[in-house]
Amino acid sequence: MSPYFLDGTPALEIIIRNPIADKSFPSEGEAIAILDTGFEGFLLIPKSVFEELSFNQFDVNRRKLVLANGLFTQSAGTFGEVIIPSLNVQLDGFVETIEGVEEIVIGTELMKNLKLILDYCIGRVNVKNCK
Amino acid sequence: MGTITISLSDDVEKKLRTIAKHLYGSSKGSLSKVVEDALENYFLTLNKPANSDKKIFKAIKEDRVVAEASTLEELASILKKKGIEPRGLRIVSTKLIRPVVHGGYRIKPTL
Repeated sequence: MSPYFLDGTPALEIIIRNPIADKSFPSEGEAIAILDTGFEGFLLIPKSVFEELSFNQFDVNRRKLVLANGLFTQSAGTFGEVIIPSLNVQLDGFVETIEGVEEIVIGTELMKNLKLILDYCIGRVNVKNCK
Repeated sequence: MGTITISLSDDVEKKLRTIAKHLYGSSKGSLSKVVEDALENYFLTLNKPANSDKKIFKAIKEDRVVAEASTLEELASILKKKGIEPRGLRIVSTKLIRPVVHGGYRIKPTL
């Protein structure tokens, strides 16, 4: 499905993969991911999804995320794959999780591969592959 | 300022005229402004080093690199061939992960 606004927030349907464990989320269809230009990472996912993809079986990397209130939290992550079926795009990048996150968030590190046009005048999101 | 004559497909010409009119109205030079902006952007993409996005992934187990590849799919395939279990593997990339990044506004600071 093409990207769209979800309550005013741009959203994209994706599949997340752990190719090393040969696992995908969701196992069927696609998951809704929110586009957040304030997040400087690649992909942030709920802990349950991180575990479902067996990313927690790896020796994970940890780093700090600066929250909106200026405080820090620590994320755990490893490398995974994001497939955007509507664009026929497959991207590798750092997939991380923190306690309490409930949605899948696409950050600017992933968006660097995309041409993103947000037209709030007509309520349309247009996303294309850079290449 | 130079003047050049170029040929465009009907479709591109139509889009160019529509965008120029939308952005600059019917003023003189509107087509040139849009073409110049578009070319400037195009030149920027061409100047981007071809290998700037190239990265290598390595799988490390017990402080030893057991596989490396340019994509995770390739890495997975090598590990499978070698019969290496994913558990306990550390996957690293030649493109370093920044130690601190902004988390954005979707994360609720209730932690």
